[in-house]
Order: sequence, then structure tokens, then C-alpha cells
Amino acid sequence: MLKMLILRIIQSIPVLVIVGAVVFSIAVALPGDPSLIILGENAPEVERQRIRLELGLDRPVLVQFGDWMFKAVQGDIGKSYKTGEPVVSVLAARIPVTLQLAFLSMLFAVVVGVPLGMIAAIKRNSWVDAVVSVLSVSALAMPFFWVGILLIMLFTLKLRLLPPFGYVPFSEDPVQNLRFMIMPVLTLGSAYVALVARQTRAAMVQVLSSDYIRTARAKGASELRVVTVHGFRNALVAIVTVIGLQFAGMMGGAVVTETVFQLPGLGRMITNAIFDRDYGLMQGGVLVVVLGVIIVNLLTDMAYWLLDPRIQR
Amino acid sequence: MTDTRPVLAELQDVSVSFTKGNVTAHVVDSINLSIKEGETVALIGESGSGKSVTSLAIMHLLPRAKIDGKIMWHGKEGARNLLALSTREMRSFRGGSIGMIFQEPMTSLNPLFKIGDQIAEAARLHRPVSRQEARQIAEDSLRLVGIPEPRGRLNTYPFEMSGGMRQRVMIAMSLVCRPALLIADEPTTALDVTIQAQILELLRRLQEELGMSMLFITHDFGVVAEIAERIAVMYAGQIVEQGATQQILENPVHPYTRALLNAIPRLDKRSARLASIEGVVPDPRALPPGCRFATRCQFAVPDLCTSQPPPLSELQDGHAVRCARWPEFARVEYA
Repeated sequence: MLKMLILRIIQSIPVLVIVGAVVFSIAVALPGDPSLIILGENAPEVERQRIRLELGLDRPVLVQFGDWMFKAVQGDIGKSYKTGEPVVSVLAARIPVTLQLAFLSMLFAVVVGVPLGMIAAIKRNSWVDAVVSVLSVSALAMPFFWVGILLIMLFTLKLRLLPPFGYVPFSEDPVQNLRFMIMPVLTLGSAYVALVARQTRAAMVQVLSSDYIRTARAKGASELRVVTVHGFRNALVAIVTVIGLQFAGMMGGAVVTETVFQLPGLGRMITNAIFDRDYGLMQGGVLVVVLGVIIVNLLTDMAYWLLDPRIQR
Repeated sequence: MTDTRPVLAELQDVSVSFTKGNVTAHVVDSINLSIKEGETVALIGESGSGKSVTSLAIMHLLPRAKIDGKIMWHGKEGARNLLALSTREMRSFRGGSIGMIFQEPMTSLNPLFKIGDQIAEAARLHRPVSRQEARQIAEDSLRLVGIPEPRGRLNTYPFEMSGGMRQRVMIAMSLVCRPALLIADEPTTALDVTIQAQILELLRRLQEELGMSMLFITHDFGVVAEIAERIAVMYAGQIVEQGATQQILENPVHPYTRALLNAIPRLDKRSARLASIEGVVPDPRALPPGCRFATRCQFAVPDLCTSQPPPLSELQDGHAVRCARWPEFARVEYA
């Protein structure tokens, strides 16, 4: 286990370097001069030159990249061009918001999607299966911003139950924090409920037709035991795969959701950084997202290892 | 010599059909078969003859099927119709009084659980034993089927074992509760010839040691001769011939039985090519009105064979055949 973990971490390093290079080149290639953004359009050339020198933008691109990477390894990923704040401290404030949103959305997707998929698989080709299938396709087809607006219309305007948007850290006011989070989580989670349900159904249908399921029935196990112990354990690998893979895709959904509900998360921060040509901040943000995806992949691999003895030996 | 052993299980007019939309497939049609205590009965036929479905029907392992008739079980508590039992009652039979092993040892064990746990589960499902006792039972069971170092083997996973070993594990698991009847659904078909012989020998030894009855399903007459006392030949969902193994092997009457026996490659008879039976088993959704074998039978005559389904007629004690022309064939020596 430890060996595999170390190997996987070493394998992640080139991925990080390559992603870093790509992000850096995009920032360089994008039109717009950061000095203009910082100083305003009518800034005198002398001032702009001073800023460029300060940011090190006068040096060759490769040197800039090497310098950025070198500092990044030490934990310093630069300053925001716009505010001058260290990127790390901006990120530190934003990451928990997105993390909470993503985690709760996935939790919602799993808690609702897995049982739905299992029921659909057990009762396959019945009306229950048809209902789950129609709901899944509908949920997948609805864009996040539209679901978000519908939810605001329902919970805020009609029922007057929830605040439309805003954010309070969980540590300050847990109840209010969760009230702010409900609609974003429903918005982002609904599509993943559908994905998880469909994947669970497919995996369970396949597993339930296996020979070892017949064996379990032949030795007298109850249907509940057959499905939950013998069936679900085997379907879990496929379900974990879809959760792991979708986590990366979830970042895209988080950008939209955070914008609709005005959550101060990573997604919105990266979007704003791009509009502001705040490349320092953008690079840091993208790097964190990539790191997050790598960590989730690592966790997925560890889950396989725990779930399937064939991988262990 | 008359057999005085009491009957253990009895299939009375058992039919199995599957309906999808408005099409019904009659896969098993009015089977009558009895298995005595300590007896081994073989059910033999080609793929699609309904032999596996018959065995699964006994176990209630056909969720989408309609099963008619009666399956009488003469246990210690008197006679009961297995088809009339509740799900819960039937569960106590599955793996309890009736054990079952399957054709595919490679896929019949759950890949994610240690074999010790899988065998122990079978024990714990039927007997009020502790985890520790169940583990001991599992170990004893592995020893019974001839697996060396059974204690250490408890902790291995199926993927770490060969096909023959896995089939031994399946047998160990099915015998945990000392069933009165073991249903073996082509247990050797997927195995190498040398392993086949070992498994057959094992099953025969266990059957003798434990005094259980066995319903042995196969398509291989070579296997049948080794293990069965009585044979029922199935074709397209019906029993077309049944009798003592000797009767069937030495004096087969039904053209299908004869054709099956001819299809076994033999070293003592030189022939240019392997014998086969032309054609395929008829579609159970559209069965012919007369004899079901008529379409492939070289002795079929119009009207007699194609208009009326032939009844199962008894030639002599226990030897019965479903063929309209049987009196002619019975006189012709089979060679």
C-alpha cells in the first residue's frame, strides 16, 4: 500500500510540472498587460515600467517560469497582481468554500443516487426503473445555472425559506452556513445524483446476473443479503470510479454554481482572476484545482486497493 | 433386485415457462422424476434441453419463470411441496437440505471474499453457530473435499486458486450443512480432463460417505456412466427416455439417446468423421406439434411422428421411452 502510494505521488510530479507550464504559457499568451490592470489605462509609461520590473515581467519567459516553479515548490506561488495579497492566503480563504460545496454535493449525490440506482437495478424494467431513468436523464439535461434559478424561485421567492445567496463560514455560524449551502448543493448535486444512480444501476445489473450471486442465493442467503453484501460490494468499484472521475468535472459546475449563489469559492475566484488579468492569482487557483484532482485520483486508487483483493496481491 | 430405498424428492408434472411480452417459451414440459435416498440420478441432454432449468426450478432460483406442477420433498418432517413454500421456508432448503454446485467454478465464487468466509457464511445462514465455530466448520469442510492445509486456505481469495480447486471449494460450501440432496449442474464441464476425473471421484466418494442423493446434470455420457445409477435423457424440455444406467447404455431405444451415444468419439470404432446430430433443438417458443425430435430424427415418419406428441411408454421395469416407433426400435439391437 505504502509503496503504491509513494509511487503514485512520484508519478504526479511530472503532471504538476506540465500543468504548471500550460497554465503559465496561457497566462503569457493571453492579450492584456498586467501593468495596465494594476495602474489603470492612463498610467504613465515610467510607472508601468516600474511595475513590470517589480513583477519580473521584463525577464525572458523561461526564466519567469523557472522562477515561478522554484518558488511554487517552496510554497510561494506569488502575489495577486491586483491586490498585492499573497496568492496562498487568498486561496486559503477560498478553498474551504469550494471544498465544502464539492463534498456536500458529492455526499448528496451518493446518499440519493446509490439507493436509487440499486432499486432501479433490482426492479429493472419495472415502472420504478423507468421513473429513475427519466428523472436521471432530466437532471443531467438541466444546466446548473437554470436549476439554481429555479431553486431560488422556489425556496426564496415562493416558500421564503432560504436566503437567495451569500456565505458565512461554517466556523462562525454553522446553521446559517448550511442554510446558505442547501441550494448550491442541490444545484451542483442533482446532476451527480443522476450520474451516480445510472452508474450504480448499470454496475448492479451486471453484478446481479453473475454466477456468484446465484451461488449466494443457492446457499440460502436472503435477497437483502444477496444484494447488499454480495452484490453491492462488487458494484462498489465501478461506483467509486465514477465518483472519482466526476470530481474533476465537478469543478466546472462549481464555477457556475458559485457565481449563481455568490459563494466566495475557488471557481468564482478563478473566473474573476481571468477577467481581471490577475495571472498570479489565476495560476495559483488552477494549480490548486489540479492538485485537488490528483489527490482525488490518488484517493480513488486507494479505494480500489481497499475494495478489491485482486489489486492487493 | 428391487430398490427399497425411500423416495427423497419427486418432480410431478413440473413445467417451466418464461413469458416475455405475449410470447411464452415452454422450456420444461411435464417432467416426472424421482430421486431416492442415496441415489444418483443423471439428467442428460444437449444445451437448451431444459436440464439446468429443471435443476434451478427445484431450488426456486428462476425469478422470472412460471413453474407448474409439484416438487415433493420427503424429509424428516413429512412430505412437502417445495413449490408451495414461502420464500423464507425455501431459503432454509437452499444450502440446507439441498446443496447445489455449478458449471463455472471460475465465476461461481464471490471474487471479493475469502473462501473461508464464503464457506462459513453458508454454515451461519442455517445453523446458530458462532464465528469461531463457523470457521472450524469451513476448515473441516475443506479437509473433507481434499484440499491440503485447509486452515491456511481459509484466508485465500478465489482468484488465487485453480479451477479444480475452486470447484472443490464450491463442493465444500454446498456440503457444509450436510444436504440430503446435492444438485450438481455440469460440475466438470469447465474443467480439464484430469481434473474432471478427480472431481467425479470426489463427488462419488462424498456421496457414499455422506449417504446423500445426487442429481447430476450433464451432457456427457462418459461422465454419466461413471457416476449415475439412473439416467433421464432430456430433449426440448421433455424426458425422452429414462431408466437404469445399464439399461440406457446397453439398450438405448430412443433415436435421440442412440444419436447422443453415437456422438461420443470411440477409439475401438474407426470412422472417417465424428458423428453428430444434424440440426438444432427446436425453439421453445414454437415447438412442433408432434414428437419434438422429429425434425432431426432420421427415422421420423409423417403423421405418426409429426401430428401427435408421443407418450412416455414403459418397456420394462423403470425403462421408459417417449417415441411412437419404440416397439420397432426396442427389437433392434443397438451396437
